[in-house]
Amino acid sequence: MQTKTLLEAQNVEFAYRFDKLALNGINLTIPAGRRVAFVGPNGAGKSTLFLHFNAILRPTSGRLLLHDKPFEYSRSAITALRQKVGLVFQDPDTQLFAGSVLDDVLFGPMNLGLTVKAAEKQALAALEAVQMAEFANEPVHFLSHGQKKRVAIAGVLAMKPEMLVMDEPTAGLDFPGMQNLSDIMARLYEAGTTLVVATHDIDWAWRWADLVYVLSQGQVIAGGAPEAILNNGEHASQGFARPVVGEIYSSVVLRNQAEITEKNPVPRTAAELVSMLKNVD
Amino acid sequence: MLYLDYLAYNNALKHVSIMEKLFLGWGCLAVSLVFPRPLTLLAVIMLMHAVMFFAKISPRYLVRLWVAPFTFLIVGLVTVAVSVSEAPFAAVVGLNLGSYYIGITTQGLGMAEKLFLRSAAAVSCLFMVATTTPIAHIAAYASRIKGLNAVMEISLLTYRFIFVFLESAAQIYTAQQSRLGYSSTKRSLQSLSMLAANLGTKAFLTAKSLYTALLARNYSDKLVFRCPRQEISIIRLIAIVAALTGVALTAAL
Repeated sequence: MQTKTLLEAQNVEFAYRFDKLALNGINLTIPAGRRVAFVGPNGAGKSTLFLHFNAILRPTSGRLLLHDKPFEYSRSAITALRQKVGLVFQDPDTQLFAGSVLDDVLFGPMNLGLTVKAAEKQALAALEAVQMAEFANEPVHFLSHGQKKRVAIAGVLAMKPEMLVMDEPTAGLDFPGMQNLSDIMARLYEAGTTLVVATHDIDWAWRWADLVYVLSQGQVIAGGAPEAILNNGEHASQGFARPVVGEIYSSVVLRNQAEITEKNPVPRTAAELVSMLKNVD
Repeated sequence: MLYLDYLAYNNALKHVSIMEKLFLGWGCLAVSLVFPRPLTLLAVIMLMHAVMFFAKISPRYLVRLWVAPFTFLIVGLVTVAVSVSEAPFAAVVGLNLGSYYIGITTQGLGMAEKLFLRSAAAVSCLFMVATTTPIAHIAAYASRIKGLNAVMEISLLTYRFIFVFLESAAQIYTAQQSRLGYSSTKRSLQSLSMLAANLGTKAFLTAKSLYTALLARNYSDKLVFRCPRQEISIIRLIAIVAALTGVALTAAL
C-alpha cells in the first residue's frame, strides 16, 4: 500500500545573499506518518530547508507542495500551513517568551482563532503529552534546559499539527530527557503524526528513523531507508559518522567479511547486537 | 535580581490577589505623596515593612535590597543638608576652611529629613510590591487597561529576556575571567566593553530568532499573558482600606 505524500520539495533553491545558494536544487518527498531523519554536516542547509517547510522562507526558485497542492504564500494559506506543519527550533530560549508555561503554550492555539477556553484545553493536553502539566503556572525561567525544550515542543503540539519538524531535538538533553523525548515521539508516531528531525546523533537516527535524507552543501546527496544510507560505507564522504552498532556488527559479527545484506541486516539497537554477539563464539 | 523574582513567586503572600497588593502599595504611595508629614511617612514605612514581614521576606535580604537606594539617599541628603558659602551663616554644625564656610543649617536638616522620609516611604512601597508580586502578573493585570497593551508587552518581553541575557553575560564573564580578561584595570575595562558589545549583538540575534519562532506559531500582533485567577478577599480589602485611612489620619496628629 502506497503511503500518501505529505510534503514534497521540487527543485527548491534558496539564497540568503545574492551570491551563494544555501539550497541548491532540493528534491525530496516526505511520506505521511513516517519518521524522517535529516543528517549531514553543519551548514548543509537542514535548518534552511526546515524554514521552507512552514513558509518562513520562500524558495528563490522551485516549489514545495503539501498534499500535492503547491504552497501558496497568502496570509490565510500561510496560517493554514503553519497549523499543519509545526516547527520546533533548536534553542528553547529563543522560542519561549511568555510569563508562564501555560501562557506560552496558549500562544499557538489562540493565534489560530480559538477562544481562550478551547485554547486552554488544547494547551493543557499538549503539556500533558510532554509531561509538563504540573508546571503550567510556573515562570519559564525557572525551568531546566530539558524542561524548556519540552515546553517548546508543547507550544507547537498545542496547534495539533499533521507534521512535526524538529531541529536537533536531542541536543543538550540528559538521559531522562532523551527517554522522555523518545516517549513523546513514539506516542505521536502512533497517533499518525509525521515526524521530521534534523540530527547529528547518528546512533539515535539509526534507532529511530525509517527514512533518511543526507544533505550536504544545499543538496540531497542520498535518501532512502536507513539500512541503505547509514551503513553503506559512504558516510565519511557524506559527512556523518557510522552508527556504532553498524561498526561493531560488521567487524565482529561478520568476521568472515560477509556483506551486509537482507539476510544479515545490521541490528537497530545495542540490545539486539549484544544478543547477536552472545550467539557468536 | 533572580532571588527577587523567586521571592515574588514564592513568598507567604503569593495567594493574595494582585489587585489587593497593588491597591495597598499604590494607596500608601499616594498617601505619602499627599500627606508628607513625618509621622505619616514613618507609618507608611513601618506598614510596608510589616507586610513584608508577614510575607516572610528574609530581613537579611531586605537589608541588601536597601543598600542601593540607601546609598543614593545618603548622597542626596548630604547635598541637601550641607551648605557651602563664602560668608559665614548660622549653622548647627560647621567649620571654616580657608575662605569657605561649610555647615549644616537647621533648614538643611529639615529638608534632608523630609527628603529622606519621602523617598524611604516611596521605596518601601516599591519593595513591598516587588517582593510579593511577580512582574509578569503585574504586567498581565495592567494590560487589561486598554491602550497599555503595547507598553506591557514590551515590559514583559524585557523582563523575560533579562534572565536570558543575565545568563549569557555570566557565561561570557566567566569565560573571559578564565583567560585573564580581568587581571588588570585596563584589561577589565576592555573585557567589559567587549562583553557589552557581544551582548548587544546577542540581543539582536535573539530578537530575530524569537520573531521567527513566533511566526512559526502564527504570530499576528498579539502576545499572550494572563495573570492567575486569585480570589479577592473582602476582609483583606476592608483591612487595607482601614490601614490606609489610619495612615492618612496620622497626618492630622
